[in-house]
Amino acid sequence: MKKLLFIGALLIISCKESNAPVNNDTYTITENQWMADSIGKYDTSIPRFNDLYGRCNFIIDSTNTVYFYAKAPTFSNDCLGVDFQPGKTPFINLFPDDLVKVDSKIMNHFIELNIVNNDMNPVTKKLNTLAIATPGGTFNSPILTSILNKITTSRNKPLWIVRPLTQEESIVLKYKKENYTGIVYDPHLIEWDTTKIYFEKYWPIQP
Amino acid sequence: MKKVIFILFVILGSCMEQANTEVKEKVYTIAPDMNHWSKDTLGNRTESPLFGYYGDKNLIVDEQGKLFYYSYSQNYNTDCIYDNTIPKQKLIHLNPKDFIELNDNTIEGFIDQNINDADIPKGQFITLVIGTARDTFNSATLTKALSKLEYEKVVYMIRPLTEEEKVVLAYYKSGEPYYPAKVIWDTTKVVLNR
Repeated sequence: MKKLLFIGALLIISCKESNAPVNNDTYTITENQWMADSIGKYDTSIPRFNDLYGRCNFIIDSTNTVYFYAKAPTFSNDCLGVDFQPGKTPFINLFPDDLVKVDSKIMNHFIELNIVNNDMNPVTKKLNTLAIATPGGTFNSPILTSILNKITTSRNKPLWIVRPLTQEESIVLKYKKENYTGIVYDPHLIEWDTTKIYFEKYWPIQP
Repeated sequence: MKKVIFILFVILGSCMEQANTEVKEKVYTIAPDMNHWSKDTLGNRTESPLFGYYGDKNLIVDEQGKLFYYSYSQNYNTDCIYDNTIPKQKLIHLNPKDFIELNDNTIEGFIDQNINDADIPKGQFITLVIGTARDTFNSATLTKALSKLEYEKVVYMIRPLTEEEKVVLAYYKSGEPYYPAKVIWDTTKVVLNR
């Protein structure tokens, strides 16, 4: 009897552990419906963080190709960021060259090395955040499932969100795909929709 | 009895060393003076043009043999000058966040996706520069990477680390905020253009 109980307990525990954030590969991400750190889905009408970018960022495009880029954290004394403008995202000086393709074959090892790495320095560990950008709408993405499973089951878990693409990301992504056709991305020549993006006083920001 | 054990130990030790040399990968030797950096030290690829300090894609091998990747947008107007003298290094606004760590498991897939880029038109090539922290080193991961490259698309060279790479790598490892203006640069090697 004891044995049975023990097995039962084990089963319950294992069930709890395998409680992944999603069970199938279909996701719905819109302006008003995001996914966030194990809380599930939430409404963006709630006042939210100014910064939609994480230390690490994935972009998943409509063909399920995954791109990775990292962003230097903003260090400020008041933790508010340099220039707070609600509803808008800051310009981060992203370039097509910064995007790196990561496919499903190396995804797990890549995440282990660069996102959830336990050997990383304590400063980076503390600021470990991950933003996953998707084209939005309802879509099917097995690779998003595998990313979420990997990061939620690892020890050094980053704080993560899944959100729609920002304006800057979608423009840079377009240029990334037209790479080697002779078209050069120059942020000065882009007509930015300033209701969605704002610039620091001096831009492009020299990193 | 002690002697016997000692002799056995010596024999064992020598055997181990032998086993090691058998497995030993190619040893890379890079002259530290920035004068003979590049090309023929590898044996399998003898010609590669000198194309400045940085390539479109860059790899770094650190002291421990770890591999890091970063990309760099070339400014062809100023970078494509062929010169026999050693030019001073320009700062390229490298940032610790640009480094992506790679290992044995990811290197091949990563090169397939990002360096052997399928979109490159025929006749064009991309440049790959490998910076090393040590003059003589031994890296199975690098050997794997070099054997994976498609040589009709990629031109590569190996050189010592530049000053900027050394500094940024140190900041990457410590995680401290990096402000290039606060770094005291070695101006005998680096040009500060502003």
